Amino acid sequence: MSTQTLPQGDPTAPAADNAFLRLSGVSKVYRTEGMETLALSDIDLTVAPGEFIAVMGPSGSGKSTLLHIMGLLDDCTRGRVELDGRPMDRLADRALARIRNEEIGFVFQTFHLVGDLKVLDNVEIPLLYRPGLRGKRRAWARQALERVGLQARMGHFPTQLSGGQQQRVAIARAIVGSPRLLLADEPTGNLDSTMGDEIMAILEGLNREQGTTIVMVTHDEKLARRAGRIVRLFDGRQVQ
Amino acid sequence: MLKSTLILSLKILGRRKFFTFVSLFGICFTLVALMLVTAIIDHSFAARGPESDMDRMLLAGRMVMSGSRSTWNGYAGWGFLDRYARGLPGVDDMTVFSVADRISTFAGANKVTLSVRHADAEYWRLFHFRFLEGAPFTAADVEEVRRVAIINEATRRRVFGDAEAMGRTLELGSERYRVVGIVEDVSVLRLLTTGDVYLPLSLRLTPESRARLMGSYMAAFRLDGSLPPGEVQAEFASRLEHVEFEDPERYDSLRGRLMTRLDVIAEGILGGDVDENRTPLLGVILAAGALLFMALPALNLTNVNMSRIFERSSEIGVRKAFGASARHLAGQFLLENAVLCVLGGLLSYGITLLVLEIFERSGLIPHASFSVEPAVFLWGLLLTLVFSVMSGLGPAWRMSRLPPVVALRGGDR
Repeated sequence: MSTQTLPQGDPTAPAADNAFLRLSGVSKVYRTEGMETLALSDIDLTVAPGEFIAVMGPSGSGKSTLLHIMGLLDDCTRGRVELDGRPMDRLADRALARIRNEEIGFVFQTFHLVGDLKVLDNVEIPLLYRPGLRGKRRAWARQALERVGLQARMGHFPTQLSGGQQQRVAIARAIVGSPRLLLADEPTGNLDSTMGDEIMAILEGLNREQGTTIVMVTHDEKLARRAGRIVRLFDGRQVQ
Repeated sequence: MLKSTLILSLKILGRRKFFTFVSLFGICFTLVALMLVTAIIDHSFAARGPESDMDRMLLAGRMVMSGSRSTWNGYAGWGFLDRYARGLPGVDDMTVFSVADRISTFAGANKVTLSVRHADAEYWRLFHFRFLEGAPFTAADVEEVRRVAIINEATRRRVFGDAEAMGRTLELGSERYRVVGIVEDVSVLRLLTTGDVYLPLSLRLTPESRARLMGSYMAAFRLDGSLPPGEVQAEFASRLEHVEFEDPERYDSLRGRLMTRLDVIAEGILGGDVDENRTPLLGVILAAGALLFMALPALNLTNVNMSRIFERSSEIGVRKAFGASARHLAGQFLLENAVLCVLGGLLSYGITLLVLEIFERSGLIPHASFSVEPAVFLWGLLLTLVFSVMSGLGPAWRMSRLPPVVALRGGDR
């Protein structure tokens, strides 16, 4: 895991040769029944190891699409995505799955916890797809839950938890495999400000203490200012 | 990995109780019906009990004698069997016996109706009855027309109660017979060997009936294996062409054929003309029926699987986002189906045994004793497993190939 951390609030983009994640000329077009919708247009973005970036913009500006492409959840129509200097296009399903498993963690606005599984089982999900962890999965999942302060709730089902607690479970699931990159899509969007602050504090702690690179989509200017850098999108274009 | 996925499957099945119930019900219904049908077929037709040599036997029974003005549909007569069916090449033993008659008697004040069969001494050599007491009547008993009887266990109980029956007199109609043997009950579905009382064939034969081509007799021929059954059947057919008729003006043709056990079953189920082989048609009907029968729950499972898997689209998206490949996901859904199937299979086995036990005790089929062949259960389970896996394969594969972001949105691309 990288320990290089950029100072908080630094508005300067990292140098091109210090890139952990690089997007070059990335565009995304959705085609539905003869209609084309340009979701992202010619995005160039470089993320340094240990950086904390906030992505802002109005609804429909392409923030979530950008995050999905960064996290290899979706492919781009044009352009190139590189992780640690490795191009991600043309990788087979299994190779992409492995990179998502080992290097990337996701936090979604609507949590996306599996309702049929208990909290501990939810957190364990990323470890199920990582070979060689026999006997360690439960322990790692417990540690991740302790880190977000939910060790007392590991036997509960998601529906038995509050929104803030569910999001903390989602964060525990995202970090259980110690990913180098954490992508959070409006992680506080469904929470009140107190819970939002708690979640933000956890993310800041991960960035500061573990050196986890974080890219967070948010509508909240106040929260965005707590990130090291803000990327602004408008109509699919990067305006800052 | 497999252990974790297995545990996960059980947890999810436990949480989705309605889906689990619907699926288990479908699987159980199919397997129980399949095992019940095969248990009854096995009980009725398999080479076991007194009919354990049936696999190497041919049978003659139903015949048609016809002429320009008359047609006689019925069973073979002693005259035909004795004159034309003996000494067939490739046959090492033969027995002639009557179809069962119903004769009433009294046990104390109670009227008892018994199924009575007449047979020659060879009958006891070809069919392996289990004697509880005494022994079969002999060729000498038949030759000298002795009034001896062999009864089954149920008749002993009904007529003699708990008292000794061996050596005692059994009254049938106006005739009296000495009981010389007691055999274990044979199910009424075993048409060649079922009976309450067995008497020497000669008691039934009159000088007139000894000459008849048509009557109420059947014959079983045990093959020695030196010739294929087809050649023995052909020889029998050729002998039919040389039959001499007493009154050729009235009857001039006798038709019938030597049948295998399967032919008898096909004829029993489908009917048809005596010289028409219905076995291939029965095979087609049974295969189509089995396929349809298995396809219905498979379609049901496919439907349930489709809705279940699409409903879990978001979960698929999450799993993909955290490193599951398409193969992982397809494997997980298929394993869930397989677990369901095995659970359903075990449940069905228990239910089938219970239903058969109730069926036996109900006395609906007298003297029935059913058993479930493990092979039938395993084949049924395997077939259900194949159908179940196939039914899950399509939806599981389709959903597992979706880009994660589309699955997270609910698979609505």
